[in-house]
Amino acid sequence: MQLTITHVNEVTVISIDVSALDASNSKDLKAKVAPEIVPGAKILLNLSKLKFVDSSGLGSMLHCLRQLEGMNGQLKLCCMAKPVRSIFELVRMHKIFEIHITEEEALRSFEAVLEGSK
Amino acid sequence: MTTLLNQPPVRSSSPETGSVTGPEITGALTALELEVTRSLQAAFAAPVPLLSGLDLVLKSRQGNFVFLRKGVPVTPPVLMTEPETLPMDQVSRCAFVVSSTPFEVLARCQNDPALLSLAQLLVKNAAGLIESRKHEEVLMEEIAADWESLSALCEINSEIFASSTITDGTYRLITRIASLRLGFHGALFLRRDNLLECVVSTGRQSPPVPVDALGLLQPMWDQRRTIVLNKLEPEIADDSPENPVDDNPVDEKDVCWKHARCLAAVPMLSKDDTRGFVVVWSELEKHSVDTSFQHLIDALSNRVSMLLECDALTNAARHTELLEQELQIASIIQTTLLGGDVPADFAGVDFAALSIPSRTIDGDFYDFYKQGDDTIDLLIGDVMGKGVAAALLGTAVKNEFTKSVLSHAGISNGERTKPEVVVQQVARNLNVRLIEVERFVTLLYARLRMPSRILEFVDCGHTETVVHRKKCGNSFVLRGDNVPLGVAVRDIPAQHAIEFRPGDTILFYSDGVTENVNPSGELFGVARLIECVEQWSSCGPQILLDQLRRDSTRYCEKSAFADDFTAVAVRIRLDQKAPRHHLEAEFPRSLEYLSEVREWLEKAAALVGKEGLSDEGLFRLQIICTEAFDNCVIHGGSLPHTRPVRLEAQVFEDSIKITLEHDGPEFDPFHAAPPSFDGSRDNGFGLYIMVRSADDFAYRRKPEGLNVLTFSILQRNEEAFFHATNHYSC
Repeated sequence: MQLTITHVNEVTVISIDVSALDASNSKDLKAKVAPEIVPGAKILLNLSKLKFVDSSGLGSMLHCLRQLEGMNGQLKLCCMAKPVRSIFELVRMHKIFEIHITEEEALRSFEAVLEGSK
Repeated sequence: MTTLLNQPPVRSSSPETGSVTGPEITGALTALELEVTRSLQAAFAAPVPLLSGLDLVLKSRQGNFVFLRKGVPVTPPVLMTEPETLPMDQVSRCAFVVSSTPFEVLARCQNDPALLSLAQLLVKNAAGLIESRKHEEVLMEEIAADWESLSALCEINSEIFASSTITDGTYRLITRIASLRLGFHGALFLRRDNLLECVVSTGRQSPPVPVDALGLLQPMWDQRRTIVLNKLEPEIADDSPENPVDDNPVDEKDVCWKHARCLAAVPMLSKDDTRGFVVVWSELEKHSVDTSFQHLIDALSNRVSMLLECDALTNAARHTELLEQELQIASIIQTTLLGGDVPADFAGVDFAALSIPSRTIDGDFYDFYKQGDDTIDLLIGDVMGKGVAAALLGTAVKNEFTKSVLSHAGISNGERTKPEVVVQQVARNLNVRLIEVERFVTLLYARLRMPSRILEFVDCGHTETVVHRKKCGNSFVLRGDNVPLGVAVRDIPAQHAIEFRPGDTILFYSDGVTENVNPSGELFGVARLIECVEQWSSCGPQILLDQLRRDSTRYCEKSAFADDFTAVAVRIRLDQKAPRHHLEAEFPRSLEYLSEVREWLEKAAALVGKEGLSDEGLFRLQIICTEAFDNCVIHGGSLPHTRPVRLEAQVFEDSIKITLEHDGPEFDPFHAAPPSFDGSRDNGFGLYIMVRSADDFAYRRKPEGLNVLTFSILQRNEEAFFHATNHYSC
């Protein structure tokens, strides 16, 4: 699975460069994101290329979220295509994840928390 | 026998000459020693030739020795004083305990160690036998002691049931208690407000006693426990320290137990109160209440308590029993008369009904009236009120509908009588009568007209009807504006109509469904009902109702519902006759092929009418198939020689139907645990997503060990994108 990892200030932006996240590659996602999951990490998953997610894809993102939350870190999602969003809504995961429409908006939300904590 | 007790023991120089007779020996031995002796004798009387050379000596407590000679069939024990005089050169000593008394036996024989160890064994066996027999005797004694009490209790039990009144019953009991020991008296005091009144007394009569002036018996009352007092002085029993001696002989201190020399008093306890007490006493100095008598009094007093409790309960129950009988009748009416036959052969529509009567019976009813091959009427209603009256009223309303439907059957001028006319006739016949008995009935009368796909309904104050429309992916409720029957004579019920579509699910229900409450008192509500319909309607009306029942039971955390639970589900089948295209494919059972499966689906979906299935439809098709494929790889993929997954697509004008066939273990998609929506679990969403995303979903197991999933996606022609749930009334 192709991922692009960039760092913007303190935020690790991970772009998923595949169009489908399903049972064939969701374990791979978990494995590739795992090194970034460190205490206090701020991770943004950019899903703009993703056109299809199944329940195992959802599960892998949930897995990352829970791990990060256990380490006082954060995981946010952005740039969700309509079908992907519909699956999140179907299993009510849009209430569990913080989802932003654009990457900029998501990055600002991390900063806002930083400023708020100062 | 104590004849020889004080005589000097018989002396003898040798066992042969020192023989004495049985009775004399018994006198010189304690009962236990005698018993041990006899047991040993019995043990050694066994016809074992080896033992013939053996002698036994048992040392008695008084220092006597009992000599048991083996070799003669019945050897009387011989009592001696000097065991040393025995002419034996081999001695074996064996000690044992019977009834906490130590014994010692010397076994002697001439130069035979094997015989001695055999003798030891026999002695030990005999000792064990005696000990267990002793234990048995103790048990028997205890049982015998109890037997008296048991038979007394038994007799009293039957007496109680023979007595016609509570007074009679308690009188017999108290008399019985008193007669258990000659010279004892018994009395029963019952509480009325703050006075204890003597209801029964076998001794002198007693005036009422205030609950706080019981004198000697005060601790019994205050601490709610049995008290026993022995060795009373009569003047103490008549204790009245704060009251000067009154001239009036029948003052409140003139209690019946005033001359008691011993007494027992038992409080009559009910759940959170003390109803009264039983007192048993004797005025004779020689008497006392011992532990066993106390237990007996306790037991019998308990019977009095129970008798009183029973009486109170019977009075309360008489009323409830009538109610219970009524409920039984109502329940029979409910299950036999208030339901209808669910039509199984109505073209293009599937029906299911669920009716669970509650304990209280609300008179929910439903019925179907088939009007030819293309029209079917449906009635669902709920009588306000509970019990037999409500159930009977429900059947009366149903009867009126049957009459009205029959009188309007047939077609005149190419039209059937409108549903509102059917309801109006019923309303005319019932309104006045319902108002008279101050009852009202909510109901909904609906007609499904098949060729034109029109739903006409007359809603008389009934619960909103839920419609879930697969064609749009949304749900809405139907509500009419007529008042319930029995509310207003002038109200003329009017009908409304909507068009329905293939894939629609229509759910009619009684308020027991939505008014189910969870332990925190929240209603199940229409929103949860709609949620359930949206989740399960793709599986057909029967599975929908099964799941509604599961959801509701899980929600209210009870197996029995507080109100009648009635629901009728109707689903309009998809229009899937004569496919335009038919495609088949096989894919190896491996996750690598998931994207190929989706590409194949995309090709098939492009063949749906009006230039292919929408993106939304394709996405749902792909997610269902991906989840199904995932499942068969994950759950059945590790088996050797698994066959490839077979896919078949039937493409229709406005829908596509996929059949996915694979071998592997059987599964039950309808009884999986519901997914958790709180993010706590990574998995468990697959089946939920499949069932919910499909417009039609079915699972069957082929006998040759194949799992067959079929699911359809409808072309949505309205801009109700994805899982929108806009609820609006019609």
